[in-house]
Amino acid sequence: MVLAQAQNLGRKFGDRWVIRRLEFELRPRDVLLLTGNNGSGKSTVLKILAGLLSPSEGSFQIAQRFGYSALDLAVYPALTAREHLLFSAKVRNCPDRADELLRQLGLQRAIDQRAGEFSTGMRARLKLALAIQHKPDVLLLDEPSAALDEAGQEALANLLEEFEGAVLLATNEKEDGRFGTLGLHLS
Amino acid sequence: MASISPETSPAPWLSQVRAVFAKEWITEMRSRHGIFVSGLFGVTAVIALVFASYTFKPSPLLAAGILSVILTFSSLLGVPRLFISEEEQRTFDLLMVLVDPGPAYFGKTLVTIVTTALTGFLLSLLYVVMVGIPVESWPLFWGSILVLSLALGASVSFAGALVLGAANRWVLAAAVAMPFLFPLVAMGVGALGAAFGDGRESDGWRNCLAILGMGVCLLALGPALVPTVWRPGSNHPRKK
Repeated sequence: MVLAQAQNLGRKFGDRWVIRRLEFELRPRDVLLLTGNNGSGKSTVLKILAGLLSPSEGSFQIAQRFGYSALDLAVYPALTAREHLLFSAKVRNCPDRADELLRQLGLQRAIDQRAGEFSTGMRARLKLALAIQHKPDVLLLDEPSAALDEAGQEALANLLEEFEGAVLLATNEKEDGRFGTLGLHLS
Repeated sequence: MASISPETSPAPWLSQVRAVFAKEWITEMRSRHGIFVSGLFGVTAVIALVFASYTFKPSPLLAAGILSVILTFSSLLGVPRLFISEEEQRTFDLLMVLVDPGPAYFGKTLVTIVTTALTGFLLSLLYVVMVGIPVESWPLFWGSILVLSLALGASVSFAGALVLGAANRWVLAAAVAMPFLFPLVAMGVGALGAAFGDGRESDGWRNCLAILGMGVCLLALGPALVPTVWRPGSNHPRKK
């Protein structure tokens, strides 16, 4: 079963093509590593798949239930970690699993703390919790380990190991190479 | 572009609206920024008018005009923030990943209307009591404030949502809102003027109906138009 695919996908900003003629197909348990220099279009690919940007050419398909986490994705500073998960559970029509998820990602002590008081690493963990809360078929992760400490990286590794869907992981970290079953280098 | 697993679906529209409303309400009550800015402007304007009208009482029509302007600018100051701040604190992408654009717009607009109505009711009461304007018809007075709050909230929300991606959002929001606000102020003057005793009460209710009609039109137009402006990727399978 194909969970995500792109056909001849391209995106340009102004006159400059950032990605062009991108093709891939993801099935369960696939982890596609998107690598490339800064500005090579890794985040753009993920944003297109998440519906935050439209492609300039080509098409894509993605399972309706997907999770998205990115380094530049902000969380609500006035809401606590628990309130974030309660809010997303209500709009996604799924159980909130707040205690379970925050324990899994090592945020149990900060469950009632406002996200505005979080460190970058804690925010990254909260975004991961939001991404996996509704048990998605596809995970779109943009630099997921960039802000994580050792314990956070271990939690991420466990999460990816247990995940049964497909993962598209954009990264510049060599360490993340261990997660990949497929690779795509953007130039 | 299509969804590969269409069997799953997000929460019903109304549940999403309720969730966005709750999130915005919690955020607003914790920061109180919008209510504080709107209220401060309104209270300052009322106090200035108390001093200015110490030796003379404004006519019903003038009193209605001043109150309409106070309510309009009070809502304009605080309200587009609900949309614009989402872009400024860079949380808009998270909102768009989680919620369909229609319910997101509607939930935010409802909070806007409620906060506009709250500040509107308090400011109007303060205005009438402190300036000493005799009210001939209290039902028409409160009815006018209610429909004005709804229409003002709907129009500044609409404007705030439309300019979300623009560079100079705050200035642009005010400029975009003006074409909606001018007729609202004019009709507000007619409705409140009648409540203060200038003209027939039935004409005042007619103005209220027109304000209500405009507010409802903007409320209905928003969810249809705004999502296409917000994100070019709004035809994504998740957002259909």
